Amino acid sequence: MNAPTWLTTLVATLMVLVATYSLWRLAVARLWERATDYESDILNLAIGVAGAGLVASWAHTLPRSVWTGAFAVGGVYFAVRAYLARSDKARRGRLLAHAACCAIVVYMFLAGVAPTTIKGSTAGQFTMAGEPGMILDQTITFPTIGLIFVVGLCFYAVTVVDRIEPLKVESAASAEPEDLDEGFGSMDGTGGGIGRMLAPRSVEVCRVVIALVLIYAILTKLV
Amino acid sequence: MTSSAALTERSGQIPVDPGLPAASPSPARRRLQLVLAGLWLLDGMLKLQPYMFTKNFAPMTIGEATDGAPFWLADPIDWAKRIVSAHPVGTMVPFALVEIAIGLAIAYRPTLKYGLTACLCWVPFLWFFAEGLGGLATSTAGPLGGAPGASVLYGVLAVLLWPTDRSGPAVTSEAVRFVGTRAARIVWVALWGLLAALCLLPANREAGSVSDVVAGNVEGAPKGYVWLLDQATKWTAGRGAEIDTVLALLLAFVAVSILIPRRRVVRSGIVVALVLAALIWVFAEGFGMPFQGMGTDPDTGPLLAAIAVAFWPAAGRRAEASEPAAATVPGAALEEGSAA
Repeated sequence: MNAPTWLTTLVATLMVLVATYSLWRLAVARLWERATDYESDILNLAIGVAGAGLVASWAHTLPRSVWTGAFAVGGVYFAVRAYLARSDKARRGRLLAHAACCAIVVYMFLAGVAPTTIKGSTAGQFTMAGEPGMILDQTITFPTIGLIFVVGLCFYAVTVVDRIEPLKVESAASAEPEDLDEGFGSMDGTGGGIGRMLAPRSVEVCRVVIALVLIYAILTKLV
Repeated sequence: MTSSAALTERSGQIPVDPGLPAASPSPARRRLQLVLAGLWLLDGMLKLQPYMFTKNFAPMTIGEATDGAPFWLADPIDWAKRIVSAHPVGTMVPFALVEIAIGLAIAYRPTLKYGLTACLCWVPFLWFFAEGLGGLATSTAGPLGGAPGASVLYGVLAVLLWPTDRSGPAVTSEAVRFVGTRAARIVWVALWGLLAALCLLPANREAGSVSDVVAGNVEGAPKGYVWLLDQATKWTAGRGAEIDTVLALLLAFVAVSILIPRRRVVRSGIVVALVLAALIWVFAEGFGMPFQGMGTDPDTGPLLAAIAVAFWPAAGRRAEASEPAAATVPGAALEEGSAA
């Protein structure tokens, strides 16, 4: 079984949009003298490109082994940085979230999350697993781990949404940008402390979109 | 800039206008609201599984709700089943989006009340048409069969967790903060008392009533879980009446424990409730049957557990409730613990 083609295309397009937006942030942050968390943007860019290829075959880019290796290295990098930042709980939490995200993507590549192998869609047809004549699609290995990740991603997504603040309060933050430089500089640790943060809410929205797409990708391959 | 604002920026938070009214000043309450939001999100995402878009879904899943149901319930469900069967994509995608939207609205603090209101509006529809009133109109309803229905438990949680800054000595748990002690006790006794009473129905006291339910979760499950279910099936075979009697007694204890004016007894009742919710979820509900690709929701186990946690009489609850709302994001403390 597989999902309707238009839904798969829409989900993959969302990931491409996240990747494009993250690339745009990386490009304009310095030009506009705005601070950004380069680690988050690079991670979102990578997951956006790799995740789109996990959902739709037209978005396939690099071989699975390359992506697996890249995210494994990324996961170790964020885990080590989280260990080094253990005195700063908030920063450590953010880095651990990045590491967990990398681990989930590595799992998805290893477990066999991939675009459907069925030509067309089974949506609207009579087809059921375990019955003669059923239309089989490739399913993932270690589905229990996949389900644990699905539940974890759901609660991660709502936690991220919880910390998004209404737009009107940002004016308070923009009053004294100099003070903010220090905070952001220490947050990203990669020279991002130039000025006021570049659209921080949009990064959180990207995280939510990524979480939802990863959940969708795992669930569609569970059975 | 104030030092608190700098701190919130350092932690990745956006500073909040101190004049902005806090929707929910209690971190414990907010955590429970986020649990509700997460469960709605999971519920909605599960409805995007490929099986939901096939023509088998409606007869196999919604059709089950008509088993043993009276005509006034079975006929409307049949009508809904025909519509879903004819247009599986056109119906299931909006259903999923509604539930995802409810989850995200509850999670986003400015839209919390809208999310809970939407939850309360959506629940009756879902409870009637998709769950057949949780089987309560049939003679086979039971806690092991998913009664009283996951939807109605979502509704109960939405009411109990309605945002309020009410505090004082009477607020002994998050469940009583909005509805008050008497109403909260009524909800608790009615819910767990109902589950206890359902265990005593003749259909639930048959020899194979428990083992059949447990065995029904085996298909498609991972090996380790299948082994566990097989062992449970063997152990429960022929002991349906005994197990349901014990279950009824335990559920009855849970129901009345809240009325006893001793904190230790209340906590014992809640612990038993949590254990029973976990056992029901693992052995009777098969974690909501996700391994068969047919799970449309996480089922009643997690929701019963969330309701039980909402009634937990924490020792520091009174002091916590009387504290002024922090000038920073109430969810900041949450993030630290759950960001990973």
